[in-house]
Amino acid sequence: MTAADELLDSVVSDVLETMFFSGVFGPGTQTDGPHLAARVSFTGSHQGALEVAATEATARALAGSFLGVMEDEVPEGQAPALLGEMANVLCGAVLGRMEPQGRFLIAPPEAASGEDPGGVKHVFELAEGWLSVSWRVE
Amino acid sequence: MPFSVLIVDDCSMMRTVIRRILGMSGFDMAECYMASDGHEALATMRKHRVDLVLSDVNMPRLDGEGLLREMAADGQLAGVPVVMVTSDGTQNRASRLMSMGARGYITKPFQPETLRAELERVLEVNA
Repeated sequence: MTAADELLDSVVSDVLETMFFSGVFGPGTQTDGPHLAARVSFTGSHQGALEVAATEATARALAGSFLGVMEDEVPEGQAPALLGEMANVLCGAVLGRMEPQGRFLIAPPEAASGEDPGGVKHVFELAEGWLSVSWRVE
Repeated sequence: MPFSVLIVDDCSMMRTVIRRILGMSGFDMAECYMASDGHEALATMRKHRVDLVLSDVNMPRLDGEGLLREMAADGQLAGVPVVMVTSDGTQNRASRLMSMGARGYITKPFQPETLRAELERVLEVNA
């Protein structure tokens, strides 16, 4: 496992446990079928992007944990917003650990196509389902 | 003494979860106000007594840096402490915001006890 792999695994575990009240069971498998994806891009000392993807059911379950409400109480439209906010927090945490002295500008989250953006990609198994995190830095 | 807190973030989910984490932390909170950007935050502070502001950095209309500038220029608000809550974990950003008048800086993700400790440090609450 490379340093980039270890960094991504570590950050995803920390962020999910600390702010999303979830946890990583281990490596997961991305299933075929429709899913949601969100991406944040960054410029500065390095440029690149971080993308997260999950099924809508998984995103809704994570949104419920995040907000402290039952899954069926998650307001409409909050599942994509959850993935956007998760991408934002993950990106900032990865950059802060990768280069604490760096200068970065992180763009607001945006919906993504879900196509593989290249770079490091890990799929995690959560209680809520699979979560894919892709990380590309130049 | 319970404190009135203003949470400023353009993401409604993040405002909700910060309030949730604040509640989990055991911080002695009276009122908890919410604003989605710097302009709303200024309007809220001119209407209600606020003891401490927890603010995001990247927001539309008036961002966290703009909010710090506007508060510094307003004699009524200049003394209200602001703790920045951001996903940007680089030291440069933290230094810049602190030099602009922020009294504290918390990087997401954070534990409830980290948040509480930082707020109590800024408010000079003795444990």
